Amino acid sequence: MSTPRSSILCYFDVVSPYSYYGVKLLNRYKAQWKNVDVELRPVFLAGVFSGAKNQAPAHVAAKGAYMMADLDRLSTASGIPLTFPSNFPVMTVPASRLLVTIKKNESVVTYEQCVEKEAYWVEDKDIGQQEILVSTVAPILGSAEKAAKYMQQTSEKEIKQEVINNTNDAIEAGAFGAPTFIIKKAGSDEPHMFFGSDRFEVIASFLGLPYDGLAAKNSAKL
Amino acid sequence: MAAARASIVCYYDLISPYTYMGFKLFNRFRKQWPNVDVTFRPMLLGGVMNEIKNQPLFAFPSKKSHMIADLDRISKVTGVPFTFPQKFPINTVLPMRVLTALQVYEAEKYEQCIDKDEYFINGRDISQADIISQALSPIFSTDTTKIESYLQRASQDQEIKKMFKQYTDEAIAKGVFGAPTFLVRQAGAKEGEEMLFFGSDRFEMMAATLGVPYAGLTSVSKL
Repeated sequence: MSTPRSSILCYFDVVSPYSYYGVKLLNRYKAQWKNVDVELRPVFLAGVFSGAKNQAPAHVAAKGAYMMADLDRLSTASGIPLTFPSNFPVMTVPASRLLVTIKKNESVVTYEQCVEKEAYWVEDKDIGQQEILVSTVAPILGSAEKAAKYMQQTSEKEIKQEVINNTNDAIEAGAFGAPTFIIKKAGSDEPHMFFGSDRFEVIASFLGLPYDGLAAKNSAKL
Repeated sequence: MAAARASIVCYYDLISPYTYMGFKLFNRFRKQWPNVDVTFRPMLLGGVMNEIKNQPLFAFPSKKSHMIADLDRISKVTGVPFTFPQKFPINTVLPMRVLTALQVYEAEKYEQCIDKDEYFINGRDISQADIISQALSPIFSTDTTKIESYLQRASQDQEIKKMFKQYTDEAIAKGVFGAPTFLVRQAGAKEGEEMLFFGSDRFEMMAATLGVPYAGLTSVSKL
């Protein structure tokens, strides 16, 4: 019988800076984690806030100010670049729908590269615009036609519903923000909800996995 | 003149479960940070929340559930005991003013007095004077009348009340929005060059910023 695997399901929205870090860090750590299944699912963060009767942190001025400093220090500590975009927030429903379309049609590696692309959080592109989204994913997909085709498919009912379903699933699982991680230990079906990009040390211990720290190691770029 | 040492001022309120956990963790980690000066400053979290129109975690059901599960897991990872109290929240003005008085009059015993397990392990209602008394009596074993005097100061001494309010106002002015909050100043930094770190989950980043070791959550019990 094969070794039982634990699983990490990450609900994220590309509008969320902590989702950006959460996805980057998760993909970094999972390279060292054996027998862990990781899946990234886009949600509509505003929908999660609404469902949990919560609000974005920047709604309170002191929290917004803190977030800017925190994100900056996190960038220094982790070596993950981040430049706060000039247009924040943007409407990321088109981006989420496009990612869902890519997820359905492409390999996991390609999909994850699209999720991690720094169009918004480094390159300051307006990812609320369809043309920007298409030109962002085209080089990763290796085809401008494919990118345009997937963008067209985002208006399909099935695609729209999937983002809605992900959002509702996240709310039902207890989410109130992003990134939210639903974690199952190997051999158990019991879900455990972890919130935030700052719980990887706890998650690692919870799953009996090594935690490599925040600092970037001198590893070859993949 | 010698350059200023690195310093951390921790704004805290005993009402906060993350303050309890943060305090316990911080006191372990700082054993490895001997050249960092540490001060614990009492504040009224409710006062901060009202002023900046923020809301406490427990006002949101899913945030509250997560908080309890989160702290239970952190407790398991670190070995710091934690039991969410049945009576929550409580009004912490009295114990926080007692601590304000202790900070002034009992500098040596002050930190010990913060480090009590009455609320988040034993679930006792620390808003009550008799519970506060019980909690402090092992520390003031040779002179328990002192406890009475500090309880009195907490409810009647205008200077102490004013000081506690001032600390709370100071916290708000510095951008505090929750507890625990750590105001960190690097060695040699100028007045006002403080960095705010919020929460019980920023010790790794704090250590990286100060260039001091971070032992990790799974090593806490060994520190």
